Amino acid sequence: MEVEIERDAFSKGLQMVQNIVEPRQTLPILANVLLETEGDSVRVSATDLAVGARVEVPAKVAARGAITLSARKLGEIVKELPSGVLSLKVQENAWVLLRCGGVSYKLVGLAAEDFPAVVPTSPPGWVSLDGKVLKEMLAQTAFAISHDESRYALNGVLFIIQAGRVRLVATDGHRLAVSSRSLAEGAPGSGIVPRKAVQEIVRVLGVGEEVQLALVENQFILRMPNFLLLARLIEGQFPNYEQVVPKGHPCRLVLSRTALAAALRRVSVLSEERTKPVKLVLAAGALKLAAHNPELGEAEETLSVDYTGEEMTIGFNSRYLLDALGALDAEQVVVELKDAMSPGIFRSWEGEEYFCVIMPMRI
Amino acid sequence: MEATPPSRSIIHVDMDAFYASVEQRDRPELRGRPVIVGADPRGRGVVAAASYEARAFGVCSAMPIRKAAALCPHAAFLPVDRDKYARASAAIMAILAGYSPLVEPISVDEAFLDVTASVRLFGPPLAIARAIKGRLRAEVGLTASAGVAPNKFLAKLASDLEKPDGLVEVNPGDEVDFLRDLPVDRLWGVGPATARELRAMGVETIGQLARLPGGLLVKRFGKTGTFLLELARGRDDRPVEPLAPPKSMGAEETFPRDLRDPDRLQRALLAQCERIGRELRVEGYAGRTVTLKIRFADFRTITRSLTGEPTQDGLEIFRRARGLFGGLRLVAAVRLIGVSVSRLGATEAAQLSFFSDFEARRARLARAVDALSRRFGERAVIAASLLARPSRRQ
Repeated sequence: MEVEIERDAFSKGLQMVQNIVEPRQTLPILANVLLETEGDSVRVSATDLAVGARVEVPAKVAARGAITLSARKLGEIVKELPSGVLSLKVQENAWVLLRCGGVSYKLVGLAAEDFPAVVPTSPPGWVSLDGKVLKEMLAQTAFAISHDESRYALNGVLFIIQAGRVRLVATDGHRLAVSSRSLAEGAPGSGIVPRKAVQEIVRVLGVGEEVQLALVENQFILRMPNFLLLARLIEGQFPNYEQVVPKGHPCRLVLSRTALAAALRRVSVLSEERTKPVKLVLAAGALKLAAHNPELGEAEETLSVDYTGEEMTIGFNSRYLLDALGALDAEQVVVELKDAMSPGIFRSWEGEEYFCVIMPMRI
Repeated sequence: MEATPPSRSIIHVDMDAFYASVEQRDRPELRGRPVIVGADPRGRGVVAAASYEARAFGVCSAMPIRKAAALCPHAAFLPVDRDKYARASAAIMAILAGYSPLVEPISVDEAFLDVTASVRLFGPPLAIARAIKGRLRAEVGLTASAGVAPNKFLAKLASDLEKPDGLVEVNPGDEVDFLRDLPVDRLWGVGPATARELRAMGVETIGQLARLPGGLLVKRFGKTGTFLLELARGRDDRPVEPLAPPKSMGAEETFPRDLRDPDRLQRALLAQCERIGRELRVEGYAGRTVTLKIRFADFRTITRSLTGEPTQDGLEIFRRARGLFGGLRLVAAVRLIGVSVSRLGATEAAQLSFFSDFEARRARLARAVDALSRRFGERAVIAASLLARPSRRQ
């Protein structure tokens, strides 16, 4: 293999895939990226066997072929190279000569044959989505992904494509986030996409690109021009999330998202650090937030709200509330509550595109 | 410049004739009568506890039970019911925990509390001690004696001064006065031998000891001398240390013959997980990390663990252990299998979960099984897969 590539484009391509490479892996070759010629480009692939990605970078191909190189070292080298054209040439015994201007490296490669292929199953159809929308939907749900290793099915985001809608759901058992949008078209499918793939997608998605998704067999596929990401879907049963979404909560209040978030941040300064509990006392016309800490003192703030129902008190982890408020972009939010032991719902005033259900804390 | 250490407020709570009082509480006909809890009065055991009515006859704890029977033949002699006392103890400690996070139980019926930081929430230390005594009487039905002082040593001395149902406070600055006329064997660490030696030196009271030159005591008693002098001057900076939870709880089994059958290995795991769950519940802990350990016939040992929500449910522990087991390739016969649960913490979770109902039902089930096991033995309720299989007839 012998190619010439623009350093800037190569660097950008490497950055899109090299995060997939795990710092510690079972197979030495998984520490590497695969470089292979493909038409008038070099395709760069990385995989940890569960999640894989590949990107095509335009190149001048003098000789076709393939090789693998340490992802970390190649990344470090290319990052430090000056802008311009760099050349890669594979020599005997998998030695790789990398040159750029007056700089040259002779690198130890590993044969490409042993690299696990990053090859998508061919799906029956694709779902098209604006990259910005997908990124927003993932940001609205990813924070609720569980870190509980014993509940594998919760360690990702559930994608459901059905009846002209795409819906993303995540829960850690304490809160549930559901984001949905309508679709022009799309083949139905569903599956749990692992956290790592979600993080990578959010990282590589820019603005304005159109992305295509497919859920097929046990694979999630995302593709953009010149880029492809594959993830093995998490096996297991995602809980019946619709069951935990309360209906007909009697206490309903509408308030300013930014005012509520600011008050929560102010009051929770005095909350216990680990679970950051805040007490909400709802009374006619007023919502009082309160926190206390035996070693530091107490904090309280009252917001005026349009509420006429009975007085009630409920406790929440203020971080959970702030996560939910941060995921909403409308200025007016709707909060629905029932009693101290029932979950609260947080949604935007307009539209049904997003809501978050949060379980209370005993206080 | 050396900073003066901030003054602390320590309470020592000591239940009065604990075992005997619990019995009198539960059996009204025993109230006002001498009650002796301990071994069989005709046997060779000792007295575990004596009610104040029995103490009037000279009976005291650790006395041979036959001697107690001779001193107070008409007393009610009762066997030790540890489960009952443990339940009362848990109720007592739960009340104490409401007044400070710094509670150090020293036995089932005795604990230190550091209430220095609780004053702003509950008022002055003496009021806290009074409130605790009131709640112990109202909610557990038992009386306690309490001592309030700037350190542990004085608090313990103070709680002992007006037993039963006593309440004594030693204010900061009054330490030396308080100790002056007390006999020297009241000092922590002064047993009969040391007391004899001190008396030979002309020291009868703590006040006299406090006036001795330090060098003399050190020459005579070494390091203990310095310590005694500090105590005699009312100084004791030992902190109140809440019991640290154990690091982990586990079980393992080495098989008489190496095993390959995954079913049998999993049954061994299930039994271990149930046992650990029971132990966690008894001790009041829940753990986050489950670790599976396997030693192969060639002594190669591997462990696999995973971390999740805290649990004390044997079946949940088994579910996680089985998940780890399922991810293994059994390359050789297994010599030993074991499970442990670590990252232990207190059980009550303030954060509710969508699965709380399910978890609560499982917790009720576990409690019911625990109650049956206490009553009918550990094998009263077991998983069907753990029943001994009848050998197949030919």
